[in-house]
Amino acid sequence: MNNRIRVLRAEKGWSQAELAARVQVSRNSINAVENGKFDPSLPLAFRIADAFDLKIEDVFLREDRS
Amino acid sequence: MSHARRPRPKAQKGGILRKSRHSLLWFAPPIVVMAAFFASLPWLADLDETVTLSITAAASAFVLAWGRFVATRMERDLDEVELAGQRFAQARGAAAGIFLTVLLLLPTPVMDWVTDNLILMTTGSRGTPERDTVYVGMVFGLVLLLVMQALGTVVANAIWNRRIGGNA
Repeated sequence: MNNRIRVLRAEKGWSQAELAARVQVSRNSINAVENGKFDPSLPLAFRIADAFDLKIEDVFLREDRS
Repeated sequence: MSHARRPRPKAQKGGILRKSRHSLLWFAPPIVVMAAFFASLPWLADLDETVTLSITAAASAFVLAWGRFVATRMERDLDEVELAGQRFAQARGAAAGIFLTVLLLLPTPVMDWVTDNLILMTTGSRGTPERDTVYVGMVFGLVLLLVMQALGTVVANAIWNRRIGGNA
């Protein structure tokens, strides 16, 4: 699964640590999700989308449609 | 869908040293129990067989229960990515630990050395093995298995961290 976390973070001017604090996970976990090394659970994906005030499909993209 | 989650404790100064000291404290009780157990072997050998067996079983049960307790306690503060890493490490580490134990005990000289020393520890001489020796051997094997599993878990955890990457 692909995502736009890096771009969205850059738009907001947030570091990985800042986003991690907002969704209450570790910075390493945000790094793993952002780089596509780990697919988050739905609750975590929703929390990340909520942090950016976006819908989940605006943050996470299916690989065949990215 | 609930988003509630326990807040993570903030990072504190003194990182690695503080964590090491903290980990040492967590692992101290089983180390103390096993050290006391092995130190009291000569005394245990003179006791009634039932008492020896009971003490041996109690020490083993304590080490197993403590290990489970520490694992559960440490998983409490992990998020889902860290938990996935933990599961990866435990699964691979347990398998690797058992494999390493068998591999370590497979060569006859190693097995002879272990057996000789167990007899020496329990009887004070290199005589014929007694029942106590068998009991102690079982505990020794169990402890070795646990140590190897712990080592395997640490290595597998390092592999996991390397795989998912720690840097931006």
